[in-house]
Amino acid sequence: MTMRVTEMMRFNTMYSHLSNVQLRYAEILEKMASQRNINKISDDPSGVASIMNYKKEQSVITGYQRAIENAESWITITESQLTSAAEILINAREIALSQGTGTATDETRLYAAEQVSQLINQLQSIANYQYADRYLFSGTQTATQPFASVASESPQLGLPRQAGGNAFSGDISVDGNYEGTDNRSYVVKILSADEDTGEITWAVSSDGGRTWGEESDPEVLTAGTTTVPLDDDGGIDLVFESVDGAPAAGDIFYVDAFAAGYYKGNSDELSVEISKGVTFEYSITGDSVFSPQGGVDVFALLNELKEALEDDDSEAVLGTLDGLQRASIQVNTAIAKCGTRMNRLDIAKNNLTDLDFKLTELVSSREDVDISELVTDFAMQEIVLKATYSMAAQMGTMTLMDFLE
Amino acid sequence: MSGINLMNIARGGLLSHQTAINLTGTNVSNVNTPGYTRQRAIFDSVANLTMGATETKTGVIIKDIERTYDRFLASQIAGQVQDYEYSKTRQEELGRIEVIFNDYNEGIGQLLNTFWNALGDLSQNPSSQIERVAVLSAAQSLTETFRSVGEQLVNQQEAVNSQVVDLVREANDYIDAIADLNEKIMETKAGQGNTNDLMDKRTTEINNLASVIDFHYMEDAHGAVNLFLSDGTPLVLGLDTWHFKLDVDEDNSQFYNVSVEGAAAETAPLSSGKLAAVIDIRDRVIGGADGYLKKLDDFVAIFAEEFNRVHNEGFDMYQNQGRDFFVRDESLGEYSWIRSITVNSDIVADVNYIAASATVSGDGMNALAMGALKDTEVMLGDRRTTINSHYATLVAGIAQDVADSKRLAEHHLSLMNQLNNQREEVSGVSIDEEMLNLIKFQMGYSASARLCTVADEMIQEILALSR
Repeated sequence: MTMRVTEMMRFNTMYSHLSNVQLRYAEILEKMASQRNINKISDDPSGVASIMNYKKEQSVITGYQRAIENAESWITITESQLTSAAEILINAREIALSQGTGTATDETRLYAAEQVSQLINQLQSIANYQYADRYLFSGTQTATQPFASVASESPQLGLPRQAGGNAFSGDISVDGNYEGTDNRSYVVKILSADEDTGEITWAVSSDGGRTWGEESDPEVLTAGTTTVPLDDDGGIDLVFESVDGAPAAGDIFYVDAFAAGYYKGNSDELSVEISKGVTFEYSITGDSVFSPQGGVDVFALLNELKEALEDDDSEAVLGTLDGLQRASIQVNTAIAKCGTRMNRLDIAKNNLTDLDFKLTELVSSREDVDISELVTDFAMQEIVLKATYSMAAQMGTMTLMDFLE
Repeated sequence: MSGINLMNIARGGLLSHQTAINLTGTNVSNVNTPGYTRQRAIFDSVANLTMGATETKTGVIIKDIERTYDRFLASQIAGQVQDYEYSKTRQEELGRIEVIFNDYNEGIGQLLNTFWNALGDLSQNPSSQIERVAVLSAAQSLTETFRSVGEQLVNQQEAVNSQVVDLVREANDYIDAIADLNEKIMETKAGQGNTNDLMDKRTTEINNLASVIDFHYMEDAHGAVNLFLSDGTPLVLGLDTWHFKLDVDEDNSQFYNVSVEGAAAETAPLSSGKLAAVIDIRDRVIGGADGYLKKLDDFVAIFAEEFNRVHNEGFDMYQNQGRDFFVRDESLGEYSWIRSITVNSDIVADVNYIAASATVSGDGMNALAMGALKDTEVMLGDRRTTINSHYATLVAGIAQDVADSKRLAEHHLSLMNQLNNQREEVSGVSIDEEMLNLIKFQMGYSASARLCTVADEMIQEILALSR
């Protein structure tokens, strides 16, 4: 049997071809209008995954860039405050030099003592400088004023406090003496509390709650006698003086402990993430610049100078010179630190900008249409569509019927 | 005698050609009827009249009206209809699911990024209410979007489930129609009648059923077709029918399983056709252990649990240890994370409960740790990957499924077109051919009419002789 060509075949074939051509034409139009290669995720599944990953990287970079900008302004402010501090120390040194000589009299020394007192006040306000409501030099405790106006003679313990959401109510006190040379917070966390037996267990942290010791043995909570040893030597205890409401698991009690001296902040530097997995410490803690932890206790030294001047003791005045020299070096070292940190941030920032640019390119190469290619395609599809239309229009115009009378 | 005989022969010719012309007319008018099989008149000379030694043919009759039909092609088409409808339905349903994920530029991926960055900002300024509110609102947008995606998937699954009900009803109607036609065809055949039209109708019904389910069929000696599922369960045997029925799923009272009345199998073995496609979408694509809902729920669960773990290690502004940041409604049972994840209402009421600090001193180090989760590789299924990258992989997987289903549907469509064309080549109506036939039969008719005139004249002459 020879091949038959029937009307249905002709029309069906035309239908399917016409709809194919129209579909391709519509696809090109959609790409033209949206200027995007991927209009539905099924257009390019692996491309979608890549783009999403690139976009995440880009967004992360934006986050890093913002963090770097913040850190930069923090460092800039720190640097300018430290520069003022360095000038104050130079002034103090000049005073010490001039008032240490024989030409100075008790009157000039008294006057100079007043000057030094002013310098101390200025340095206090520098050391307690707030940027955006946050103390520059108090470590990570940016809400705590870092330097007290009067030094504490010996290490001290603060008042015991408890968290706002504690179930416990009652009085707590702290017993014992702190002998450390750094500022820290002891934290007690109730791990379990048995309502029936009244037994509780707890864990203690000596670094503010970052790391925890082992869980204690269960102990029945008794007002006045239950004590929680806060440090390993057992020198400091938290005492539950009275219990009005029993503690529950998760209750937090904490005690701040301060080393001797002026500094009330901590030794942790503020840090930000500036690239994947890299945290960058950008703040300068007050203790490293102005306290014995950094070498010279600057406030103590200036007070010493002031007192020596008031006492008209030229030898003592000259005796501060060496310390003032070292204090200047101490402050200048911190200024230099700011400079190197700025450099590092600059490098990181440039890297990020480069990376961002490359990622934008990568996203664009997968997502954005190639206009010249698309226009060529468009022209081609238009020709195909026109040809198909004209064929369709002529279909069936010629049959045997045309030749029958 | 011969004149009268001639008249009879002419009458036969006239009637036969009349019939043939009528058939041509039927063919031409059904040129656009889907499933129509063209018919052909089979002319045959009839009954010999023996007069002495000579043998004379006494005319023509239409011996049969033939349906030009390729049985093998018909069963191939039925099979292809099943595959085509299966792939087309899958493609349509996946296309609807795809819409949920099309905003890959603004959707979950981007909201995650906003959230990570808000945490980064908070880490630099942990006591700032503005940064805290920013973290909260980023988290809320994220959870809203999670829930909305979950909700849309669940809705889609329910919509597909309601299709199961409709399709089962549809399949049962076709089964009845086929059995009904079986009966008519057997009756007509027994009465020596013409079954062409009924056969066409039955073929159409078989193809209709094939669009819903997959089955085998064969014609028996009496002209009835018998339908069986792939495991041999009968659906139609002559006049008898077995219907599909809906059983409430044991695990989910809203879902229906499909089985055949009286069959041993708890669920009917369906692998092709619309019904199998919607069940597949409901139970394996959206639902099921490897379904999108499960995958997304696992993803949201690991995100929320990891985040809560880090958040709980920190301290809030009141020096409490962090509470769960993300919570869910566990009473929902399956997929409860994606369907009900919200930010803890305590935190919504007071952003100071965000545990941004690693110590009781109010630093931002825990916010930094929470933000660092963006680069932390978590174990999901058998892959270690970051949270964002896992989501991207999920979306790409769905996109790939959609793209595959499109390709498969296109493939089956082109096979379908080819087979239909082959069928049309054999059974379709060609206008030109019919026109030629028309001319041919008209000529035959005219000639037969002419014969009549001649016979009449002959008889007149004979009669004149006797006058």
